[in-house]
Amino acid sequence: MVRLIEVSRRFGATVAVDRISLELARGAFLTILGPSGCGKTTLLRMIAGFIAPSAGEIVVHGRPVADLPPWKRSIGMVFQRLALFPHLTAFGNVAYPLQMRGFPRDGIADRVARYLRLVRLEGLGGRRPHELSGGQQQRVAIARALVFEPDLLLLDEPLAALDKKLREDMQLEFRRIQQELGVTTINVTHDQREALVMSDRVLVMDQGRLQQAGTPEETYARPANRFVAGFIGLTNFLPAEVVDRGPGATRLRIGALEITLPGATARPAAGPIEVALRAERIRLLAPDEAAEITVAGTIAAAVFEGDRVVYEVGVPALGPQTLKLYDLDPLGHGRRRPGEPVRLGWLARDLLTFTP
Amino acid sequence: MALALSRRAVLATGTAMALAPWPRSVLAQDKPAELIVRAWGGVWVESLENGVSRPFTERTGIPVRHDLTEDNEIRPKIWAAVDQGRAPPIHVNWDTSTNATKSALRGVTEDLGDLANLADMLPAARPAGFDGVPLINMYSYVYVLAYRDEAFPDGPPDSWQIMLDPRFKGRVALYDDGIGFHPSAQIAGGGKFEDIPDNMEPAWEFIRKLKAQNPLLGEDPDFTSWFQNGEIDVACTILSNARAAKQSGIAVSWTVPKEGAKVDTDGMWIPKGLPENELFWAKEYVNFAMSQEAQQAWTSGLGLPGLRPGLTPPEDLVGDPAYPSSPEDFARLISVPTRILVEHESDWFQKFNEIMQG
Amino acid sequence: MSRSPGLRVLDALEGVRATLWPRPLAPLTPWAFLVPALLLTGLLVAALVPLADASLRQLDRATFRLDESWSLANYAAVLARPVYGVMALRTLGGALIVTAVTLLLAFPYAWLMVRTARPALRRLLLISLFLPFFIGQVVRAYGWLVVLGQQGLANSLLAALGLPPLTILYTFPGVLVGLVQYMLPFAVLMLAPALTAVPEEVELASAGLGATPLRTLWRVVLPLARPGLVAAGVVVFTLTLTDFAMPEIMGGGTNDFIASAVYDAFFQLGDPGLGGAIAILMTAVGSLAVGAVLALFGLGTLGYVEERR
Repeated sequence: MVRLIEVSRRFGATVAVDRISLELARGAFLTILGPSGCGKTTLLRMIAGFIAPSAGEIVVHGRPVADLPPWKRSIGMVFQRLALFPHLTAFGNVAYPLQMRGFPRDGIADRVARYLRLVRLEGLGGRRPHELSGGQQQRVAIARALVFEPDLLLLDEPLAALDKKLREDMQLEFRRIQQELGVTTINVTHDQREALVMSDRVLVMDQGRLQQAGTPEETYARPANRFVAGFIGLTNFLPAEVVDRGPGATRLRIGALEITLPGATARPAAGPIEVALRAERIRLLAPDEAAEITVAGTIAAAVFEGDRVVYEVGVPALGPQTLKLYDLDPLGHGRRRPGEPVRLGWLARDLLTFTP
Repeated sequence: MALALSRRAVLATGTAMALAPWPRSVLAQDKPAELIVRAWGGVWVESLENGVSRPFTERTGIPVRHDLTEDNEIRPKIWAAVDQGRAPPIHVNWDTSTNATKSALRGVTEDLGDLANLADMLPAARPAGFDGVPLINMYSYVYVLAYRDEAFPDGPPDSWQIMLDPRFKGRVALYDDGIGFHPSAQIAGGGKFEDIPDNMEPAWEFIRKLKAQNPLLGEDPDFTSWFQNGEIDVACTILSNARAAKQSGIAVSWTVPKEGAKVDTDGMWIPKGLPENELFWAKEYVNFAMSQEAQQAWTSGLGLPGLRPGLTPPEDLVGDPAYPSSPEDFARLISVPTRILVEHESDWFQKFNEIMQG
Repeated sequence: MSRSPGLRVLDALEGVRATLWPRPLAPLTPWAFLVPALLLTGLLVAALVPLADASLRQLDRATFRLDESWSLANYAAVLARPVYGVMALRTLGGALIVTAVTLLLAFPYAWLMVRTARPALRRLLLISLFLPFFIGQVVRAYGWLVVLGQQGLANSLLAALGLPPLTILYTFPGVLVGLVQYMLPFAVLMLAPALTAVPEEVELASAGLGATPLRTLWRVVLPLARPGLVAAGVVVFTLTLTDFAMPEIMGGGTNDFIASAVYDAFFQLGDPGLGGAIAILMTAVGSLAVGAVLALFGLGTLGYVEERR
């Protein structure tokens, strides 16, 4: 188990990491998600031991590690630019941590071969990094980080520089290897898709602070605040007002529209609030189709993305703002043109409310 | 020599003109833009400027420029120029008599036998062993035993042996080729003057012992600054350098030890290959340097006895054995014939280096 | 379209270039850039020819001219005199010590300069590096005289502390001290780019994989900085091998390097034959030493080929 207790890091007057706590079960895959500059890489480097925390405690498998230098921790790390040793072969790179950590000499070759096989690089051990493709270099880096069977694996956005196709392949590959070995892993990324695809748990950070921690599904379905709702998924935000708070339901006014929220939804305080509505929850209604909430609007813009069309629709009843939504079957029916009148529908429970 | 003779024959026509003191016609017509005289730096070039060059310019209107290239470095340049038939880089070379003689032997020097003031100089001004006068010796100087007064509270040292005293380890200085010291070392090492150059072993033995003293080796200005910075206590150097240190307020004295001290001369010569008018004025410069007026001012500045009779010695050097004026003074000094120096001094330098660098 | 005057000047120059150097000549362009360097190198080689010629002619003491006929007498004389062997060994040994000590001091200096996160410290290190360049070797040597002399700063300080005076000036170690100080900026300037080319992440990776800082230095940083180390070593070694001023000024006359022997032969002895022979032998020894280093570490170490992505 990995535990962080109130870990902070200040650089001069700025607080890069502000009292982050987390717990991660053995064998779990956690992704720290956030925009660049949110403090996630600093947090990762503190866990690795490259940066000392200003305050707080880091415990890996029951052992406090804050006072240990990196070479005395049992933590494997894959760097953003991989940081392979250019003067060593793939074999030499993977053997390096075993040599440094005093593994018995005669076992090293077998162990390295096993890990090269694990990352599907059989027969390429004799090549130098510059003789390998980008994906192959990724595999060397991960084999090198895992070969000494560390307590913890850290991934510092190693996939960020890859093109989309290769990145998505490698995401699955990393997950496969991680699950095969059962190694506890902390991944850092600004790519929401990567976080949702790979992780058991997601931790969202912004400006050094923890925003939300939970499973990918929880994080997506029930964002804890406006930042998380905006960072993950394509989300429409609309200003609204609470007009009545009954015992079982809350009445909201959004522009000219009044909506009753069922009691199951979190109940906002009275006064001005903000409601969020994910793009994929809005349906483009057929002429005679009914929905719990319907509004009339006009297509303002349409962007074809192959597997879907993203529409922007002006809805006078909601105010000047347009709503973004998807049509996930763009080839099944005709494309709507800008200026065309449409009807939109959604469920009241899809509306998320945030107090500003 | 055949070359020198024919050269003299060619110049014979110009002789009559040169003997007359600067006839108006020549003054007006053939003046070069400047004369370049090679000199040593420090107190040396200062006294030449004051004693010879400035008065010469005042009389003739010809500016004199001093070239401070080392004497050893200018020599190959002049030799190469004469060999290739180019104009030499300087008009007058102020040089050690030994080096000047080497150039004379090579045949790159003009004959100066027709200079009027030469007749008034002591016989030692004429180099021995030549038919003509390929160079003129101007003054003599002594390689004295110079010492810091403070290091000798019980009175001045009287022997070169003092250099071997353990308390002067690392505080003894010589010229970097040992020049001026070889004959003194021969006597101090128990050898005989007559054995120079055939058996110099006593000199080398003495220098080997001296090497164990970790001596400092340098050139003229080094001695002055070493005395000023308290780096050394005793040195074998030309009187002028020790006197310069003393005049700057350092308590430095000098002596001629009982074994004697080497006396030598410096001279001037003119390289071959100058245009006729420049040669004429270069000769006039050398001639002027021998005049009573120039000799007096120049050699007093240096603190060295000029080779012209009737000069008044500087006040601080009257009666100084290192400023020889009487036959008794000269008897205490060691004078090695230039012929021997020319032939053997290079070997002595090499031998000295061999001991010092070993 | 209005363009800046600077761009217009460049366009005009480009026109001139196109006329003088039309496209079909383009494959020759790299060679054209080499011409000045080849000319300079050619001049140096050409200067060696008369030197080699003189070294084969003996000096006639009667006329102070070199012989008409060739002989190996000068080389025999050099080899027969133990003093030249002593000076050559002193020079080679000195050059090796100076190279080793300079690299040892320059490496951490360059590393700190490249790695420090503090701009003020980097600026300070850079300035202290370049300042000596503006001062020049001879003035620096005289600076050492002021510092290390019997009544110099160092000894005044020692005396104030009640310690006995230090005699470094005018000794062999003194010459080495002066040389190391002179060579340090060269070495740092050649090492800094090599260290900049080693990403900091690689050092972190090594630490994370279990290597102590010393092992990271030995197994990762030094191998990656090798081109810079070899280049700096060769430059420092050859500069020291041929140095004249520092041993002359700081050696007190009894610690001459071989360059002094060449000078003495030319000027003190007036024997260009002997001087030429020493110079040719010294050039040969220096070239052999550098050739051996390059053969050992591969020519690629200077070319930064391979190993860079």
